[in-house]
Amino acid sequence: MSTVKTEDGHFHHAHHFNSLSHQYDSAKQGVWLFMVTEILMFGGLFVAYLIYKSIYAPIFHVGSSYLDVKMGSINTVVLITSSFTMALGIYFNQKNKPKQAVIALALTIVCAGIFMVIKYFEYTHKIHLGLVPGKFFNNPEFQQKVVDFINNMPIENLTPTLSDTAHMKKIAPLYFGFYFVMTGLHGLHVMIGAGLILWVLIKTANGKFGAEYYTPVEGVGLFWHIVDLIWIYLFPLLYLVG
Amino acid sequence: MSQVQSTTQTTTGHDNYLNHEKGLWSWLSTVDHKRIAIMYLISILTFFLVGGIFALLVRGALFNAKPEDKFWSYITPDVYNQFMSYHGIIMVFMVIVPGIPAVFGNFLLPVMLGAKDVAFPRLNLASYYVYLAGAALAVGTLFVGKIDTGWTFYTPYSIKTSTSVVMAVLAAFTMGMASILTGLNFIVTTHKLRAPGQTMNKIPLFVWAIYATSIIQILATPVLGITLLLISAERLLGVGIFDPNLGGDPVLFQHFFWFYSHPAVYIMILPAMGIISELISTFSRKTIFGYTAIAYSSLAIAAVSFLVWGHHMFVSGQSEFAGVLFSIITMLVGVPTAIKLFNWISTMYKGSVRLDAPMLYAIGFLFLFTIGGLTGVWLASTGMDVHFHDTYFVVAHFHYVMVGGVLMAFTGGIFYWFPKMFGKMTSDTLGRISWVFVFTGFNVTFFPQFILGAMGMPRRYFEYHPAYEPLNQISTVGSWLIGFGFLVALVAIIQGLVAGEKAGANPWGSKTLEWQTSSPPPHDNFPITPTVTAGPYEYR
Amino acid sequence: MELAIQYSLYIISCVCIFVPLFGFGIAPPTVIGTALSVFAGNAYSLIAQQGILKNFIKDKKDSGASGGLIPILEETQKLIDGIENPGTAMKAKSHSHGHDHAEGSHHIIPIPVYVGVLVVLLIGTAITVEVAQFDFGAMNTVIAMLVATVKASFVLAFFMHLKYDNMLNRVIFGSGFFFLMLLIAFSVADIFTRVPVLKAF
Repeated sequence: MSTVKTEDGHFHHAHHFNSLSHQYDSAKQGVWLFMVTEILMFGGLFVAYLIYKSIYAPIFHVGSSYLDVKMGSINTVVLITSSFTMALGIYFNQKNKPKQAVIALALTIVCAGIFMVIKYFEYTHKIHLGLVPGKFFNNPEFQQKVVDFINNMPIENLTPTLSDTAHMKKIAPLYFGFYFVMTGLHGLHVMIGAGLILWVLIKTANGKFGAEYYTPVEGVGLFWHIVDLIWIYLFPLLYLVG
Repeated sequence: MSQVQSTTQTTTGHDNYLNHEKGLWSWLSTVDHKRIAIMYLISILTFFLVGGIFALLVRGALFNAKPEDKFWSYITPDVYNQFMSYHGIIMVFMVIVPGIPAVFGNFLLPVMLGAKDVAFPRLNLASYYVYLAGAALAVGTLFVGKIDTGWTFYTPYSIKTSTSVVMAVLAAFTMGMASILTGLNFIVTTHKLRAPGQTMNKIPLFVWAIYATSIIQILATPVLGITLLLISAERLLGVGIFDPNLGGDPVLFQHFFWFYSHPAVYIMILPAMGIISELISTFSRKTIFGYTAIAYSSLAIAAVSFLVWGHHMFVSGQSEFAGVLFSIITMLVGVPTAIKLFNWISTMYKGSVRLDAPMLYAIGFLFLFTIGGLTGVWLASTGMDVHFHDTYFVVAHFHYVMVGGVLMAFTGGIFYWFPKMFGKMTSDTLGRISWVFVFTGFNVTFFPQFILGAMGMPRRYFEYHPAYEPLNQISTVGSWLIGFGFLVALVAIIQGLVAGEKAGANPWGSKTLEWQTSSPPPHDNFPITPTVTAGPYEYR
Repeated sequence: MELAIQYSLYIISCVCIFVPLFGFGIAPPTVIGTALSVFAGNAYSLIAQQGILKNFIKDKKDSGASGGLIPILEETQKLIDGIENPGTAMKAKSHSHGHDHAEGSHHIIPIPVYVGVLVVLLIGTAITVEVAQFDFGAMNTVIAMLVATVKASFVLAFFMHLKYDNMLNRVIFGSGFFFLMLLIAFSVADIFTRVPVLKAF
């Protein structure tokens, strides 16, 4: 940023570092440390999800059948492609090709937009059906399906918790609580990432980066890849393994 | 032989970080780690004062057993719960967790490493403002709906209570964010900005302590973050993850909460131990005994601290298997701590000990932290914990380690590094007087609480059985002594700032790098970057 | 009276079995393992970053020794150089500062590699969806996580550049995952020994 601007066409490193290289390595290490915190934060959600899935498996099984695998798969492809275009955005900056970099970064934002649009359709569909967390839940059909599933399970697989079908009917909305919190937090990160990519895109377009200095692009790229990584785990867990 | 090969020392009227730029805006927009440290100091001392007032109110309310005898009729049981919650929230999140890393870590880490600044100075300033934002949110809850859940926000009460829990947990989330950013900064600084010749085996033990602390901050705080977000989701959306009625498990909340909060207490104590290493070595004028052991025990404590959180949950309903597992590992975490303690005492042996105010605080730490630590081992044993859990025994234990440990080290650090930070000496007499009151008052306050706990008095209770009253009254009188002691310390600091005698670069004769530059340090910390050729504690 | 003797014998035998089992089986190995790995890591960093092995080899060569251990040590040093600086193992490096290496971090991955990784990831997604059609019972989650992990490693290694990065960034990332595993392990240890869990999920 400000200490490394190209007013005279050169990049100057911050005064407490020895060289641009030193600064780049340090910045990268800092971003990796921050990524560790992101992983642990989402990881907590995954832990809670896995635990409740093993206790209340029927709810999660029936619940995931309400998710549209097609839309989820498209979203996965979209995010993976956006990771690819993000990597290209960094590549073109490394090669001093700002115009191509801007195109690659713009494509990444477009992919993020497509992801959010598909997500919007998924959310509105669920809200319309009343499949929302906790207090606002309004879909007795789902609850009945859970009970039916339990009743069709072989007796020897039933635990005491699951046998209490009245209780299971009442707590069935738990699945959608998880769904909305997990995908919601992820969606928030997608939007934040898109904003960061836009910032980096504008700076690239203004010629602020080059082969010697493209650290913010790389930092944002790392963040974006983590967002993609989380979705790579989220998609099978929520949509497929049910 | 000093640690530095070449240095120049400027004397009077030199350009230092305090007069480098003038004006309020130059302070508020500074990226100089030293100025940021001073701003943190002012904020943390202010919050300490507020948390301390809540403490005095809590102890005042407990002076009498029966509600009709209490000293202030405004304090109902609900109001008492609020006072006790805010004392905890302010002290834990706003004073002790940021405390030493934010003030001394920020000021000293780059100087001890011979660097010009931390790795990410702007991020450093940002973390200060994020911290202030979180603190503002926390203080804001006082006006929107006072918290009465206790600082631990246990479910299901925290989900059902009508107080402003969401705002409070968002405040804690924000302050956690500041903590993560600071830790991140310190790790990269320690890895990347050491002076030429300064290997990891030559950095001062304070730096090792801050380094281990920062690792814990990075790994533990995010889990607290997600836990707090989940409470908000639970309250706002009724998700049902922690509410048994909706299928949730309140014990899972405790697992998630304590996964952070136990390493958090090591975030509190490790920097304090770092300060003690510096104080004991300097005031015994002797090389620290077992440098490698103390350095690695910091890392060992950081690592093992992640494996023991279930000892807060022995009677919560977690399984016996988990209880046994956590109990055994908790007893092991005392081992690295004991290693440090023995090494400090061995450092003092045959050293040339000077009992200046900082050293008094350090020795006080050794005494009080030992008691606190040993009672921790008692609590680690499941059989004993069944009786002691949620009694005043636990309260006494953690106050011994947090106040008797961290606060003693913090105050000792203030008196020790005051000349370096401000270029003036504090009055040693005032420092010693403050120590007498703090040390005595502390024992008068908290030792009876061990007895109260063993007698069975539950914690967080407003109205208690009259049989416990005499010891409670002794405890309350002790709290006034502590308050007075810290007041004297505050007077000593203000007197030092206003009228202290000028300090040289190295008034204590220490060997670490920060004393090889002028007091206060120049803007860039060193006139020229030092080259390190010797270890940090080579007194002979 | 016999009851008291029987109970005390029972208790003593339980203590003698379980304390060593838990005490020696789990916790000390953890602590010792941590301590050993810390010492090993420190030794490695002394060799890799402060060139202790290099200096030793140089001293030995200067003093005229040859043969024997020296070729083995030189190979070890080359191996360590290869780990530390995958891109520049052959180039000479300067060790004037106590800082980590900066070379090798500006390695640019060519576009065809990126395209290849994209293709692998898309195929991986197709596999994930396909495999989900079949029911493997309890192994469903495990298989899905395995496929996801393979995809994730490609993103990490190439898109995030970890394959060509220095060791420390990999350790940093790995430690995040490791501590997440700890959270899972201990929480599961409590919940699964307390709440009845579905046998086949």
